Amino acid sequence: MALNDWVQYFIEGFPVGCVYALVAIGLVLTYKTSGVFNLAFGAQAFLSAAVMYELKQRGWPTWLCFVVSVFIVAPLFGLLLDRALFRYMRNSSWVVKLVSSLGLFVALPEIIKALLTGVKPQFGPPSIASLIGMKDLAGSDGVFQIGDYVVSADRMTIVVVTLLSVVLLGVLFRYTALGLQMRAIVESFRMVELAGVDSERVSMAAWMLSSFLAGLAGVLIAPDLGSIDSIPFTLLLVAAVAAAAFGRLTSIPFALLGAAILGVGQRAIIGLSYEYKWPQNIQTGVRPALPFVALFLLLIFLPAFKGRRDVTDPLSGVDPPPPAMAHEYKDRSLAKTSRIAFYVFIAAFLLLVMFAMSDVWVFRFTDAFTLAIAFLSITVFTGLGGQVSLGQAAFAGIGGYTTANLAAENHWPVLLALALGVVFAVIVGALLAVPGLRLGGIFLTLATLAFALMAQNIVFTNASVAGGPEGLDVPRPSFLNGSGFLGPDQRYFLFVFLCFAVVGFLVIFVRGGTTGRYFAALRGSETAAASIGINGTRQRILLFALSAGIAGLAGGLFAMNSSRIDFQTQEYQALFGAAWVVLVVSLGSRTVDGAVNAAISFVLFQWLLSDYFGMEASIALIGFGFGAITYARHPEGIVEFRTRVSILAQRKAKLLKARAAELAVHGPLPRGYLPTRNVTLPAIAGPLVLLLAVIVRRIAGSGEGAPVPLIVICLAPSVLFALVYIVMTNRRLVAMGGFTWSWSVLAAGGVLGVAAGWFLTAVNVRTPDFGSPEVAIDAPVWVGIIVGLICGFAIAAFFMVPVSAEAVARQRDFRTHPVTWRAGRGPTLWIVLGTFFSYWASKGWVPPFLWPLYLLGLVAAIVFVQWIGEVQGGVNELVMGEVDVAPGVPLAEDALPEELPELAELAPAGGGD
Amino acid sequence: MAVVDPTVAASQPAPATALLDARGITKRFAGITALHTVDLYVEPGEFVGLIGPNGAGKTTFFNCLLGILRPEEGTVMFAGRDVTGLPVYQRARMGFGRTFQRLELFSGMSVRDHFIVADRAHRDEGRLWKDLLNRSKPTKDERTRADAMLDLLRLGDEADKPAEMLSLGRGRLVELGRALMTRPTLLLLDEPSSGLDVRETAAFSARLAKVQQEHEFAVLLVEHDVDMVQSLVSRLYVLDFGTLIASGPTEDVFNDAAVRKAYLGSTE
Amino acid sequence: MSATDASAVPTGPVSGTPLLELRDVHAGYGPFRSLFGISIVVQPNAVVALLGANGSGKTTVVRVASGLIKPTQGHVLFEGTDITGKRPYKLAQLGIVHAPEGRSVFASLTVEENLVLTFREVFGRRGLKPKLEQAYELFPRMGERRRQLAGTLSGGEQRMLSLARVLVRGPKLLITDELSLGLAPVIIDEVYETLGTIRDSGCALMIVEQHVHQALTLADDVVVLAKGQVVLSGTKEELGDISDRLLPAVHGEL
Repeated sequence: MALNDWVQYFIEGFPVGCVYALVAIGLVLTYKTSGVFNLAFGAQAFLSAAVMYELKQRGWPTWLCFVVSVFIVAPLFGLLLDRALFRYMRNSSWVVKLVSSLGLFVALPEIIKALLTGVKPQFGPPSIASLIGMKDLAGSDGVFQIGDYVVSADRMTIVVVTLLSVVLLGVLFRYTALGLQMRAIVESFRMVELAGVDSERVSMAAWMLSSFLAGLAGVLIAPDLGSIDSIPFTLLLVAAVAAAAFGRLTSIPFALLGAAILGVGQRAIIGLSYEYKWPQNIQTGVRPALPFVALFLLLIFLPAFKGRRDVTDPLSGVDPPPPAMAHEYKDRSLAKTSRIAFYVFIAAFLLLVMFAMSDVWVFRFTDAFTLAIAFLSITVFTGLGGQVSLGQAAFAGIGGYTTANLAAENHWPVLLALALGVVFAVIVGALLAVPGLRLGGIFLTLATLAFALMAQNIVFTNASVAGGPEGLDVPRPSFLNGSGFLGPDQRYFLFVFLCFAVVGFLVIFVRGGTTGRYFAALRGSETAAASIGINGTRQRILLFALSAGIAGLAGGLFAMNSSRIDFQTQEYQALFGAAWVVLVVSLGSRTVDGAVNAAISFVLFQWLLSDYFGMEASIALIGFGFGAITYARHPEGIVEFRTRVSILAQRKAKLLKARAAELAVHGPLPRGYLPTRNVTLPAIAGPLVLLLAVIVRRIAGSGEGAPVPLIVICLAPSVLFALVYIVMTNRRLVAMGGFTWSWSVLAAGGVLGVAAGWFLTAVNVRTPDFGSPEVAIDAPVWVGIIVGLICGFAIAAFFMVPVSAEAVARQRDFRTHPVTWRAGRGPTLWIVLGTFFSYWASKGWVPPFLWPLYLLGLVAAIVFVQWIGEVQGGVNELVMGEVDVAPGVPLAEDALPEELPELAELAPAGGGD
Repeated sequence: MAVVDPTVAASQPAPATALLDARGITKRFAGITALHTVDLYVEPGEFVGLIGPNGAGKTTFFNCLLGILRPEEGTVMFAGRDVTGLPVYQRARMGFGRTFQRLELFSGMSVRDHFIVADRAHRDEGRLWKDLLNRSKPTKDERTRADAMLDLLRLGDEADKPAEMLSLGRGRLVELGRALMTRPTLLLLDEPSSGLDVRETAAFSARLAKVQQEHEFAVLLVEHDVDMVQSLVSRLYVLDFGTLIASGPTEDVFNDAAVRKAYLGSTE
Repeated sequence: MSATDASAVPTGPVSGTPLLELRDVHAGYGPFRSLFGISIVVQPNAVVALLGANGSGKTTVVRVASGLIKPTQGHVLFEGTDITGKRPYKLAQLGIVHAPEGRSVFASLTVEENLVLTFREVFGRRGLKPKLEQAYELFPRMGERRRQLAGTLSGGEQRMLSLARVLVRGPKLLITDELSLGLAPVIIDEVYETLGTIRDSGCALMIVEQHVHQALTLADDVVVLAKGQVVLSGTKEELGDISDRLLPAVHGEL
């Protein structure tokens, strides 16, 4: 009997294994050829399945749906990924590639859901069995009879298609030029280029092929899954990774074998659990978790992954080195100013939260700072340790459930429970570090993902852990309750903020201290670190324990924040934890302010999108997923990048000022030199006055909002000033040798702007939401024309003036251009956004309250003024000569102050200029 | 192991005073024997060289001494203790210092920090609680020692530059300084002249010789540059195809016929 | 830089057009600049030795010449046409072959696959077989090991393999970077003999070397770099006795 059962398991499990194998092969293909471990692979499978489903719903014939979704959409998507994204990452480190694909992993399913399938799962995906004749081959009841066993046509199709694909791939790799080139490119794409082969063509082919495999797998497995829903497809990835790991990420036959074992094993668990009457949660938990468990065990125990490093490119010296940290560019006075600004900012912020904000906002900021603590655990793990963990949510869960159980079930004091939760997380972290020691890079990341999924599916689903469906109630510390000077929510916020501040300082201290230096040494070179006596094992355990402890603390606080948690609590879910990493790393994983910015922007964006503008909250994930993609350009994080840019601009301005002072002694300054401040202050004055007036009106009780005359009176001078500035600057640039035709461009911008303004306010159009045609923006036509004139002219200038400056710089043999067309992107985006809001507002949308709009307006004003500052900085450099503030050539008096230089970097970014 | 010449025996028994004594080191990779019962010793304060053609097994032997690889057979004794099974970092704390053929600097770290980290790691200084209380800034003593090393190697101008910005020659000096900060009793140098030009090699040798005289540590030098070996080394081992083919005083080894054939070829 | 070598027969399409010309090239890595206005000329069938201390920018020059990095300023001309900023594979197809420093074979491919990778692109499927045989004739050792993974070859054999690829392909310009690095003296001599053969087959060479004497055994013209600029250049004869001007220049004493 037992043998019969196993044959049955095999017949039912093997086809699933085949799909795993297809995904695994595609995964290995792109990993080997481009070094990108494409975590979004499951999402790509989902894409093809969703396209196929949608087309079928529209009544297309099945073969056409199949061809379009698998042979057209999937390869094109692979092409897109390569062309638009991963091509630019070839020189990047594995972290960059991983985080970018993690961004896709988070964003792609949301995009597909938003565009194609909707949020809810769709049922009854089409099958391709009849296409390849399997339905005809099968018996009359649509199944294959093999002896006593029955195989459905769908499953037979999977097996046949997979085996065929594997054979074809084998031939491709073994016997064709393309296959040979793909194998060679693994080692070094630059060496392939030197051999005369277009490496971009090869990697493009690899991406298209692997994406095709993903699509094929998605379409094949869809009937078996029974629904089109993002999560099972996304997790298909984990099973595939486990299978690929079985083949040590190189061998396709072994990957196939591993996939078959997984598929059959999953089926066998169902059978065995019935036969031996296993407990319920093993039955429901282990089967879906088997791939995670298998992946975890494989990574830990297969010797192939031990201390494995990616093959080093012998030509990697071609890559530019990473930039130094922003605060290293600061000089003494700048560091001092920003430190003072930092304390003032913190004090103002706390006062604002304490006394001026409603309880809802206090709650939101409490949430944000709890999240910031969780993010600091990523700052430690990734920023200090140089590794990427997707398991932070699991550690948060460990901390949270421990706290909740001790406090709610056993009535311990909640702070003691919290402390124990942290201790427990630390212990689990240290224990995980021991097997994790052997792994490096991407493999450690995968193991942490498997760990988080295991914890979520096996441990947290336990009623004794998470209190079952009704969950657990978590009290807040009792000393925060009761009446007093501040409300309990405010006091709780202070408590959380204090926790955050303590953890933040600890992170800074650790980074500046011995541990941080040892981590830096290990990041730089593990062998060299060992050669001077650094115990890598101990450091690695410390890293895990420290970061797990911080995550555990955040988990406990999450539990207190929401006062009730259950097994579905979002903050403890593995995929949510993956989104955290994307956020932190793209905003800046090396600094505390990166974590704070990530947390606050996450909370604010979710609120803005869902409560304020009434969109899906998951849209935020799309935004942040794409944010991760910018990481490729700025691996140090966006916050860090912006800080560096602004610090460098300030230093340049300073050097130019010093040069000007020198020149002033001898005679007149060159025409065109103006301290940047002289142009930015008048431009920002108007918006600031407006903001002040609005606040005064609010306090005086004359209601929210600003009457139109006030807006015009405040803004008109600033706008006028900016327009005059643009004209003057362009004239000067033309005189210096810039493009004379820039005038025509500006004029054309103005004309187009007038046309657009007239069109939007005068012409009846059919807008998406409204049946009868009407004007897009409900405003007098003359207003539309004037605003359009200004905006069109400005947009043309945003790009044209920097381009003109670039041309002048080129004529003068500048090595770096002081300002480029890129400066125009930001302000243009804000004009487009503003137009969109106007359209929306004139269609009857009334914001629940106005001040977020003022905030957005202020940000827009800052962006415009930044543009003016950048351009004037560029012009200054053009007339005064090139200024070099390259790293590593610090000016003598610029040495940083010895005491606590790190405090300076806590200051909010972009506050400068 | 053929004894080629009465004066140039392939291996001699180690004296009892030997600082490092590796005996019968054998290492195989997937069936290929990379090292075949290699014996080598270094006395305290002695300057010993190890040469051989490419693929002779020099680097493998080096890695066996340091604990990066585990030899299948043989023992490594250091200062009278059997260290065969010890991990790399423990050997480092016992007095092994090393440099690398391909630079292994801590990227992003300044030269001064390299020295301070090495100094601390050697003393096994630094506990997490000290970091958490912000009490682990570099002390005055540490700065003094690091500055002394910067002066010694004339790296003062580069002290605050990140390591990856240095030229190869300077990088090698940083590696040397980093190894010296751990106060080694035995310094292992892996092809320090590789990638350096004649002048830089000479400068490196001069500095090395000076430091070695001051601090009186022993050196084991793996090197291709014949001039450098001749100017520095008092005793020499020659490895070919995983076996020692000669050892003895430098002069004698270089005059040995088998060595000339296997290694020096047509030069001279 | 160099005057046309009297012994060199110009074989370029236009008589007198240099094979490769770098005109006022600036280049660097990210924020770090390593070349400041370099001009170098390689005549057809000439051998140019590029000398200089470490960090003088030699490797950057050859990387610019083979397209691995793009100059931030200046132009690169090959046979009179501007090739500035073209991708390395295009330049390789034009006949500029760069044997980079260190390991330059595909370790995970067999010896034969290493050769096929190059030859397929140049000679097509048809021309593959005779060219392979030609390579094995020239380097019998490679023929013996054609099924062996290139990574298991010794350092000298790996250099031989990369030279075999170059030699059979018949480039117009071969750029070698530190060929002698990490090789035993015997093997260095062997490698330089092969370079001589390549030169005799009508290919121009640009040799980057640390070891001045070694480079001068082959070179017609010499260019010395220091701190990213050309400090000395001319034919070997013009420069005369090497210890006179050349060595001090290389060692930064000019």
